[in-house]
Amino acid sequence: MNRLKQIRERKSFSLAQLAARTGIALRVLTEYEENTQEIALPHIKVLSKVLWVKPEELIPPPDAQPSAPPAPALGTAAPLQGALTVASPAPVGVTPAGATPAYSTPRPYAPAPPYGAPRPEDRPPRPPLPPGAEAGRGARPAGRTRREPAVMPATDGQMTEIMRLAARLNLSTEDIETEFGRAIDSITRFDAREWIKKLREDALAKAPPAKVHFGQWPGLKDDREAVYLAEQRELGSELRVVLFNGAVFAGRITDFTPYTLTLETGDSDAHEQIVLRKLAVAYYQRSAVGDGSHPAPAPDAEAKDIAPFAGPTLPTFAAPGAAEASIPDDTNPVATPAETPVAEATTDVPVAVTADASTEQTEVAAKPAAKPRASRAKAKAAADPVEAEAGGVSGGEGAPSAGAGGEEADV
Amino acid sequence: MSLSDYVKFLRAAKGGVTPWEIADATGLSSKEVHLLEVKHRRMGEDDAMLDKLAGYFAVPVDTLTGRRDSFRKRLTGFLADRQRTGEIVTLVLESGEALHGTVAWFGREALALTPTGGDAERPLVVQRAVVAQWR
Repeated sequence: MNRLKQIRERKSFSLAQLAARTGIALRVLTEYEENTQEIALPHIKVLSKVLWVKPEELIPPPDAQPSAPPAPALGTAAPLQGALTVASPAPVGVTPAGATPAYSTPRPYAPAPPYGAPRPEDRPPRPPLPPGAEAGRGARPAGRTRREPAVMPATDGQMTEIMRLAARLNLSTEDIETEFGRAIDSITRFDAREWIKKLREDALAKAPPAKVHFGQWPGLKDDREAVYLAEQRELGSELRVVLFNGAVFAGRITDFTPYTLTLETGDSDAHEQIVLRKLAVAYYQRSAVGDGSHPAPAPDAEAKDIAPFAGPTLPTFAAPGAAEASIPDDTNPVATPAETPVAEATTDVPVAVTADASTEQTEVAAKPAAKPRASRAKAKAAADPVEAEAGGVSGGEGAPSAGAGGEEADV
Repeated sequence: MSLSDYVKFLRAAKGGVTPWEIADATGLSSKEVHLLEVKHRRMGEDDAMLDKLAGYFAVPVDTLTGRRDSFRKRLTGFLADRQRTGEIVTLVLESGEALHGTVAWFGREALALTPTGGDAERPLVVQRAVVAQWR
């Protein structure tokens, strides 16, 4: 039996396992075991490492030729002999006719010399470099110039793509040649790549593809509403907010979160802050631009819970089908939003108030009477929405599995 | 209106109940309820889940199951198209109110309409969840 096979079986490795561990192809290992091929020196090292044996144990005895009968049993291995030694160093790149190249000749295993030991002088000294030659590279013969890089013509696929894009842009061949300043027949592969890139950009600018994939719509990944609200907050704009039940609130926007809008109403002497839950908001519009100034923050006040309140009456809505029937056939925008009659603020909207003498914060949401504890938490959310968001209190609207913003995209 | 937006709307109509409260009342997972709202693709394949939600919100189950095909992507695609072409759109809210204008921008939860003949600096920001129909 082959030594390698013997050792492998002794170590309880399958051929596939050994191939996986050593990175040697299964076919090569099979040939090693069948003695149809000598084990290459790098493979000997790897195999000996994986199989935890000395490299000598893997080397077949000198009389074992490829396709020879199996080698003697392990333990009786003959010492390394001359077949595994390199007779004499041949000049680099020169291999005697009929001889095995030196790099494939198995070399005897020899332990590495200790660190710092002088290197054995087994190599012939290098001939001196000719004048003008670079160290490490052979000298270029005189009269021979540097080879020019190969110029590859454009591929058929590139030409097809150029023609397709030209047809899409309604460009003739002459138009393209004029634009790029070269004949289309003589362009290289590199040129074609540049042409295609430019034509694709032109085609995209001229006619964007009608079919857009989700996730590529502008603004979908960004919270455009947050950007808009941040701008209005900086300007100190006044917003007119209409809730889905028809209630209207107006005030200067002072803060917002993904789930709430904070408006400040009243004059400068008596601020009142209203926290509206976006869940209850139908739409809003800027009614006036502020001067960009921001009032001084009011002193912290202890939350005063005046809950419970009487629950609201559920607003009446048109049935989903009725809404569809009410779509006007004409798209003539006769009724602009400003002209649309909107019910004024009703008194049946539940209000949770935290107040002190100078500042009041009011949370408005279409929600029935809240439990005292919940009201307190929401009052705290109104007082510090950011902290409340971090603590999971976001005015009652939650995103159980997502963070602020809440929406996750299907890409 | 998509199923996602309709569930959100029903939440608002029921006083702003949270997904946790719905989960407590129906035995559903709050995560399931949340995902039903935020996913853009077709959702609501689980009949039992929609049945429980319909019972909780006291609406016919058909109003939920019938909205499976109108998922959020459709409104998004409509808005993207109209924003590109600059055509006037009509949005009908659940209350029956109709809003007209051109799409200034749109995001995940809201869209901005520039009212026809109005000031482009003062867009009308509409929450998606209240949009029942669009054309």
